[in-house]
Amino acid sequence: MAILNTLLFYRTGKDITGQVFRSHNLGKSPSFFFHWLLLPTPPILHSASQHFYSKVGMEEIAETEDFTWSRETVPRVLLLVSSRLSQGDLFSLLLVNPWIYRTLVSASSLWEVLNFRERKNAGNRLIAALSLPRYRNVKQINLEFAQDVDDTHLTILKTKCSDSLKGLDSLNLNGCQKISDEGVEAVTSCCPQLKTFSIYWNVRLTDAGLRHLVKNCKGIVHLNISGCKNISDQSLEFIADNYSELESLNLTRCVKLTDSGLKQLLQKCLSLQSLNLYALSSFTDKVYKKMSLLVHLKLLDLCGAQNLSDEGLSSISKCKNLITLNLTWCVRVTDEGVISVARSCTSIESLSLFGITGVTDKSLETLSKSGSNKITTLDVNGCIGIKNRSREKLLQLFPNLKCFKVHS
Amino acid sequence: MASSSKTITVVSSDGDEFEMTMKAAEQSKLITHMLDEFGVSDKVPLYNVNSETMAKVMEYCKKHADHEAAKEEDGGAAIGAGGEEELKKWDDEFLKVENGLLFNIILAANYLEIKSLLDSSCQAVADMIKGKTPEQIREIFNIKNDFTPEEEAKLRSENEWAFQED
Repeated sequence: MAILNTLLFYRTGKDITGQVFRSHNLGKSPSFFFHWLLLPTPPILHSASQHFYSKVGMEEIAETEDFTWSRETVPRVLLLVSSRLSQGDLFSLLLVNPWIYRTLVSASSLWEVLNFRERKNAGNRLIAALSLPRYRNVKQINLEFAQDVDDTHLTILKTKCSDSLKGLDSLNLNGCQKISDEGVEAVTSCCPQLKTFSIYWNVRLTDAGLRHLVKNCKGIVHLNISGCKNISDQSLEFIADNYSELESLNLTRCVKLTDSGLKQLLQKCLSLQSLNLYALSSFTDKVYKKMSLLVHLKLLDLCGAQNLSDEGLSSISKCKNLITLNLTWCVRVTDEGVISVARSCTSIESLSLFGITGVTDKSLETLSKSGSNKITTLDVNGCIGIKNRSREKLLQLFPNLKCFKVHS
Repeated sequence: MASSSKTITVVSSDGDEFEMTMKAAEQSKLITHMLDEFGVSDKVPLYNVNSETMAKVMEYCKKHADHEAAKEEDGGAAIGAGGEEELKKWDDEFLKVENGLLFNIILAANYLEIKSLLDSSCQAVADMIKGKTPEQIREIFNIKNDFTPEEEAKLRSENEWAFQED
């Protein structure tokens, strides 16, 4: 009877009464052993069986404890802990035991991001990763400054891993300078749901690449083509015609762009909240005046806009929701323009007037009166027209000022 | 406030009863919901938590309830700036228990929906895992490796891309 009981116990984790020895009874609770001792033993074999019992039974109990600990308790707890672990630590956990492996692999939220930032051999690694079922719901891929990624890798992804990319939401190819229009076509053809696409500092990208993007990914909301010097107005047309929901756009140093292309954009991408035109000096007031169409604009970077006049800036000031405005080196601007911004953009928190010699203390006084407690960043370095611009004086005007430098 | 002097009784899976103040009980979202359903006079059964773990959870809830009460009094003067740090130190000491109990605390905090306890206990385990190899993790938590050599080799080769040194 006792032996039968012990065997049952070993096989099922339950004794003859059907009571399950649960994970929390890890031999620490005295009632656990007491219960075991109460199991009936045949009187004749009493002493012998007790000896046998105590040897075999203890091992069985230890086995069951192990079983529950390794196969139930630990995986359950590690699942709860998993969201706090780095990918590297998660990989180590996968190799600990099959139960942890299974539990973690089925938690799809753990496997939504593939980050190869600055890693070597990134193209091959990405292909290897996407061949694993646990990444079939990947949402974000980061290859920023990754090495050894080129068009051939992206083409392989298209042939072998397109299923896994179906749900991709965000793709970062910043600094992947070996990728060209062909690679962009290949990878974007696999991710129709893409919302965020970033490929800065890539001089191989041309308007053809943008054409592929707008054809394949209809729902882009955040686009960064900063430093893609070969992009022309044609790309802005593609963007304008296809991305009416676009919220942020970075065109830093895309020096081929002209008024004509930007105008199209301003007329059609009315959801824009962030527009970066850093180091684009060929635009003129003609197009700056259209900026007022962007009623939702919160961030505008016009660093280097040497043609921007007070008239243009007055139009821009109609974007009442502006929070960040960079007017570094906008050398034609004077008090008139800045005062129109001060009066109209009452939510401004960050402003750079770096290098603008035509602004005076009058601008700062007006700014201070209209919204002084909101401003936390103000750069007036090189503004030789402003007499009172020591730190102390600035803090008097803008008590919440924390940062005195925007342009480096 | 009259309600803060009331106590409730919770029952562990081992059948032991534990008393806690309403304020301590409010630390647990689950208990709070159960009280709304069953009312205060009844005993709240918590069959997923054994007595050893329950005792620790009670200790935690009481400490945090007392801390909150002290904050409310004096508008926070009683606690002062060091108060939050002190509580954190107490939490760290509180969690210095052997792994079996720590894991049970995590499961209990999850079941009882005590967010702050879940956060700190999970973080404690995460810190133990950080940077460790699979072998080291097995040793720390006394886990058997029941991969067959073939399974293990397959997994390692499939995931080689993740472990590659740069």
